[in-house]
Amino acid sequence: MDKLFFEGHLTAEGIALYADAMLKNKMKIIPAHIREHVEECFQCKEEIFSIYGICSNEKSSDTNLISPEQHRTYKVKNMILQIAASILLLVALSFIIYHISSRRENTESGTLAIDKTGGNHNAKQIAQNNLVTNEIKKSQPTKSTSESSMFEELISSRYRNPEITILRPKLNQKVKVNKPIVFEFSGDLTEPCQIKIFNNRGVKILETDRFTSNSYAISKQLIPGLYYWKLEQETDLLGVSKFIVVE
Amino acid sequence: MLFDKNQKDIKLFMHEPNLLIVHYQGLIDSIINIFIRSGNFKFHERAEIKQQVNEELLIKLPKILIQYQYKSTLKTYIAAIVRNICNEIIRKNIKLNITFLEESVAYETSYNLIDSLIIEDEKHRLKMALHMYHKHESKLMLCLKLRFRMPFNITDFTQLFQKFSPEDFDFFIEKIQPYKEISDLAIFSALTTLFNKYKDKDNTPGALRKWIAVKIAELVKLLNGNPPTYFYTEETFQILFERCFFNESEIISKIH
Repeated sequence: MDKLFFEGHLTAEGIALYADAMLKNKMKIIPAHIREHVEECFQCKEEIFSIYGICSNEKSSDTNLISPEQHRTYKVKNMILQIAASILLLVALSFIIYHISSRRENTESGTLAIDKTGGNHNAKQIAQNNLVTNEIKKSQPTKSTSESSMFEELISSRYRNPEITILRPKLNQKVKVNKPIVFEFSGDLTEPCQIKIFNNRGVKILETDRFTSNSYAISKQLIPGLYYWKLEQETDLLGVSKFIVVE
Repeated sequence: MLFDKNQKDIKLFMHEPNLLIVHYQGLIDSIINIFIRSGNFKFHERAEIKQQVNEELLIKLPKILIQYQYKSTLKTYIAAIVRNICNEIIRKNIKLNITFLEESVAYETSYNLIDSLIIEDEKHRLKMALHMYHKHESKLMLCLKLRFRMPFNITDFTQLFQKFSPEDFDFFIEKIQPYKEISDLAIFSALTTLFNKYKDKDNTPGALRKWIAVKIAELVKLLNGNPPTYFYTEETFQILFERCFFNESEIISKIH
């Protein structure tokens, strides 16, 4: 007979053997005579179950048991952490709010309308026009000045509406990067129109709201490079031109 | 992986047994913590008890080296020995100041994540405790279900009785109506009839009823641990059993 029994009960190793099987959830590996003994012997059952409990909880046991002093320290640390987290959250929120509001301000001040007759900046009209610059996030304008064949073709095909003439920016006019870009046309705009600006890769950079005045100024800073722009009505293309933003 | 770890432990055990004790300090701590939780040792005694356990282990090492047959993992074996040493210390000190852990596990109806994790652990412990009943496990499961008036089905019987007939199942169902109100005696009387028929026995209904009462007491004691670190009663055991084996939505379709 094996030495896993002593005085009618399992030895420490016998107990450990059984507990190991429980830990591995492989009860079938326990020799039949040991299983049969444990089935009937409560004392061994109790010892096995205790060892099983000890070994399965060994990792978590240490962390679970803390002294009252440790508990107090833990509570204080926890409170400090909570306060720090709250402050951090507040700072992050304020930053986001500040960022959003400053962006809004930039957008609003970035587009100016120019009075049809005098060309002076008119604050009231700015508010009325409420121009929108729909920035296309996916694209960044290129610095490249290589031309777009598609737009070049459109430019060469002249205006569809002969009554409208683009006064500025002139074709290939150089515009300073930090100066507003002023768009001016002659002729009567019978329907509201809008301006769309594209980079030389044909990606739309911004578009204005619809307007009926003969001039616009856009002060959004564009990265140096070649830009194409279209003057459009709901169903008609009034003109296409290009300008170059320089440093 | 466990096997490899055990091989390393054994190697250490053979060549530098003292180092092995150093290696197992975490395990020793865990065991002492259990005894602290049960109230057998005081928290401030921890370092002292640990010292005693280490000393005892060092003294017993030569004997352990001879007795170990490599049938279990060394760590579990040492755990069993350390537990015995702790019990010896308690016997010497005659400390029986037992305090129990919270009963929240069993009584809480709305519990948070941590509670639910504890309950999952408890369910697992219960399942493992039931596995220790080996060949009697299915008998025990059926009797517990009936004792606590829990849902059951024909599989509970087919696992227990070979060639169990659906007619006998229907007969049993009829006999135990109304299930929720009927006495234990009536239920175990109907069950004894089946036992006597299928297991070729001549038991009285009282014997089976007594058997399950003893087993419930055993299971409660097992779950409470030795030294006791939990406080299960038959009532809280029933709650755990219900949570372990049944969903709240489960319907006793066969019964009503």
